[in-house]
Amino acid sequence: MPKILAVICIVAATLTSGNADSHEQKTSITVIIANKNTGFLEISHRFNIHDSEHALTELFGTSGDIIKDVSTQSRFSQYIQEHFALRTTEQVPIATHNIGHEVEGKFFWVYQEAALAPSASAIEVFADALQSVWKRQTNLVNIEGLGPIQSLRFTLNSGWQTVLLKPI
Amino acid sequence: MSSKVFALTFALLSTIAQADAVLQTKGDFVDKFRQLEEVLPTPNSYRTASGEPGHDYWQQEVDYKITAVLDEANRRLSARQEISYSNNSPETLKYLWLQLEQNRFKSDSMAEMSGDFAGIGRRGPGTKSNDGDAPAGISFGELRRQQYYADNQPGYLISDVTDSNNAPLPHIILGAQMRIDLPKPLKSGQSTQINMNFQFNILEEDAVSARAGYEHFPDDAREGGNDIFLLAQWFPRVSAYSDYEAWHNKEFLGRGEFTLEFGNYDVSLTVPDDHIVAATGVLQNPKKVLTKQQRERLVAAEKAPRPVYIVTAEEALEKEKTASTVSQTWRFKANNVRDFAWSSSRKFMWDAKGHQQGGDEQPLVMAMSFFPKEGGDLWAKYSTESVIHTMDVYSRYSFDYPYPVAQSVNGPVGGMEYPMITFNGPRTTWHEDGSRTYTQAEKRFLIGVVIHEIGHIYFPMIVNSDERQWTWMDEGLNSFLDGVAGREWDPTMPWGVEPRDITDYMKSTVQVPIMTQSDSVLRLGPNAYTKPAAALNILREVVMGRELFDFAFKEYAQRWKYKRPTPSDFFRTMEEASGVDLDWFWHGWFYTTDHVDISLDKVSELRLDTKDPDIDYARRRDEENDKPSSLFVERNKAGGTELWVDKNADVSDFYDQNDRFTVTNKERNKYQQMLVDLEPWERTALERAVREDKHYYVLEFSNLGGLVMPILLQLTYENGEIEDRYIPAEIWRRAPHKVKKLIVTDNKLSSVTVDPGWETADVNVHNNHYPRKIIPSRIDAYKAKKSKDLVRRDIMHDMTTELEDPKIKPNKK
Repeated sequence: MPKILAVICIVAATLTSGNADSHEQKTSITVIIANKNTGFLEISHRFNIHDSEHALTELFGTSGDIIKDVSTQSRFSQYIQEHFALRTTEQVPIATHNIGHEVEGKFFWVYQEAALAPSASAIEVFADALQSVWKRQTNLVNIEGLGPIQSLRFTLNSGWQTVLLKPI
Repeated sequence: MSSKVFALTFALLSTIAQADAVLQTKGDFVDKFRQLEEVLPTPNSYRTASGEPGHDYWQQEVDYKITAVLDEANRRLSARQEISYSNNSPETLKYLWLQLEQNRFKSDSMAEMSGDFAGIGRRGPGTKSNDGDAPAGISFGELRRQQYYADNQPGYLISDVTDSNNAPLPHIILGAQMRIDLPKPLKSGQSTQINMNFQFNILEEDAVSARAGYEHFPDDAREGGNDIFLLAQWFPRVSAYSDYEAWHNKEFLGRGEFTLEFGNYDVSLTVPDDHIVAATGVLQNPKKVLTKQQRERLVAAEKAPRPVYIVTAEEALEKEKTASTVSQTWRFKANNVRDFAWSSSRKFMWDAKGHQQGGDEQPLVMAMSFFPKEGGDLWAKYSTESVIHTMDVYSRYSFDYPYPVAQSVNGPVGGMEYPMITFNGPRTTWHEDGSRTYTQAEKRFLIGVVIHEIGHIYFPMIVNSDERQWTWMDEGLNSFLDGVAGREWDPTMPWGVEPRDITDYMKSTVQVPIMTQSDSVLRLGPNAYTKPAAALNILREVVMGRELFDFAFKEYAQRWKYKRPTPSDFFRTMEEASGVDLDWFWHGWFYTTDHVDISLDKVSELRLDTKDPDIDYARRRDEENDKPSSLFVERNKAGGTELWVDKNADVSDFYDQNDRFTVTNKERNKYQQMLVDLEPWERTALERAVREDKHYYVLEFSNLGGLVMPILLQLTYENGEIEDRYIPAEIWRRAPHKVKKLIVTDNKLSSVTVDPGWETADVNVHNNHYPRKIIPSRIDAYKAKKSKDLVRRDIMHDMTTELEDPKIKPNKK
């Protein structure tokens, strides 16, 4: 949880040094797909390895080998899941379930599933991973399989965003 | 239609779709191949229609002579500079504009005044606006930044702005820009000189994220620690003045980097005499600032197989213990560069290796790295070697590296480039036992970032595109080439940009075209780096082929070496040098937010009528017999219903013996007459077609994403053979939404796949297969893998592990 200082809320333990000015991406992509076969929302988060490993140092104060170290991967996966959430338009949380994570090439993937009520006409999405580390961090969320593709762009002040759903 | 046109009989196999409409006031036609000349600037004698510098091409020259003194204790720089400005333009100039990038950190700069709290415009630490029940917040980093500004005065103190006669020149400072009014208009072909003094407090890079500044190391043996100083965008620099924009007086907002004029630099840097200085240019006084041993090591490095230490780890560590109170001056000269950057620290190790590239222009380049103990073995092993590898690869695609040095310096900046010198951030990690290690990701990052930043010395430090307006022109081209270099380093590492990496971004609804001004881009990474790099990758591997692409790309680099290209010059050169019409490609990939989604909707199998009734009627009988029989009839049969014709077999006629496909002599005569009436060549063609009996298929495609692309087909035959075919993007020219393609094959098809290798950034592979395939979702595929992984865990053993409190470890840079 963030530490509270007077009237302001401190949103990060430390802030980045050495932004990779000409190199790092500081972006992630999350794809939410309505799987017609299972009826679940499948959620895949993709983060760049470079960003992830440097973020770990900033977030947890220790460095870790995200490519090889299983506990580092789990820790980062848990962090990502804690910074992504779904809820109904009545602000009732939609539970997400951890499916797992993996390293694939340049990317670190985290997988989740969520059950969506068939009658839902809209959901609210929250995605602020790494934004307390780098204010430039932008998280893109694509929603697929519920009508035409819809996208939400989460920058630091985005908060919850609503997406209207079309029936599966 | 005459009888000489042969009918084709159909056996249908599937369905359809469609796309969008623009520009057209009637109907839904969209001209995806519209000539780009309507969008590009009109060619002129400065920039030709072929994309090369015209016969009247000109650019300004700005030479600098700077003497600077580093006040290490106060982290302040004081300097004097003499600027010689040569007006090579045909115009008369009454004033000069200068960029004052250090002022971008002052409270009255456009960057600071227009900063959106918790918005995406400003670099650096995070802030967070209030959101419903959550309070507004700022990060510790932002607190540090605010406190840093409260305690330190950023920005220039400029004085004594004079002409060559030391007469004061009127000037005005507006945020991060400055206008100096000339004593008399500077006519075409004339030069003028301006002098000025300037000072500024060097920013703490970790606090403000300035692409340069100092980094403090409090844990060094010396009491109070040591610093690394990186100085970039550090002197008032004359803005570019070009044929297409006149003064490039766009104030620095922090993202769009810069473009300047080429010129010659003579820079004297006075620093503590235990510092090592790395800078743009060639050291002019090595005998004064280097020891004899260091000079000998430098000579030895010229032909060494591996980097040679000029300053060893032990020597650097020893210097970290104390600080000299004596200064000395390092003098550097650099010719034909568009900027000058430098670094200084007593912490630096220094290694070097000669790159013997041959050629006439610069046969020997000294590749050098400067790094503290925090860089350690990671840097010792890979930095200088990465510098050389970059030059080795990039030169093949452009021109020989033209400068005498190429340098990689470790400091607080993650990655940044300047002529002949780059700043790169990766480090080792300190452990309690005093050892230092690095992760595989950090190793990739070091090699990757050095390749990328050294690559920037080619683009845009030599091919001088305007980063402040078109980030993609250097980042996109450079990301494409660093992928080429990376794959030549070790293809098992995940380098470069694969088309599949960009599909989720390209199908998203929140994006802007690549051709968007740098400061306005919503997501700079995918927009300026990944998407253009993927586009060039596709252009090379799919659209043009390596031979044509590489020739044209090299032509672009060589045409604009030491010159100032615009996007249109790149687009035109690539077309003109390759002979490939790429207007559709530039338009789709760079001017729109369309994506690639080509759907294979339907495959129809056709067969040629022979016109010979004995052949054609027999085939039709077979087709009829192949159809499933009526369920009604089958159930009657199963129920034992006795047919009338069976019960009354004695009542029959001609038609009980001859079905409707029976050929008559009348039809045979007609066929023979038709053969006689054919022209000889027609008869030959028909006879051959009947003899070969090829398979004909009509493939129907929809363009669902809007972006037209070649269609890469993989045909799989019933006999197991596989064949690849290529349909150029031009198939979409008059039918942008849906097209059909007839293919003729020797064997019978069993399946067709579009883009089987995921080479075109097609965002939806589900509609690329005919017949359709069940493709598991990413999570389904992961679950299948994971189910195997889980059983390998030793749960019985691991369950017995005692729960522990987390250990708090000391942390050091």
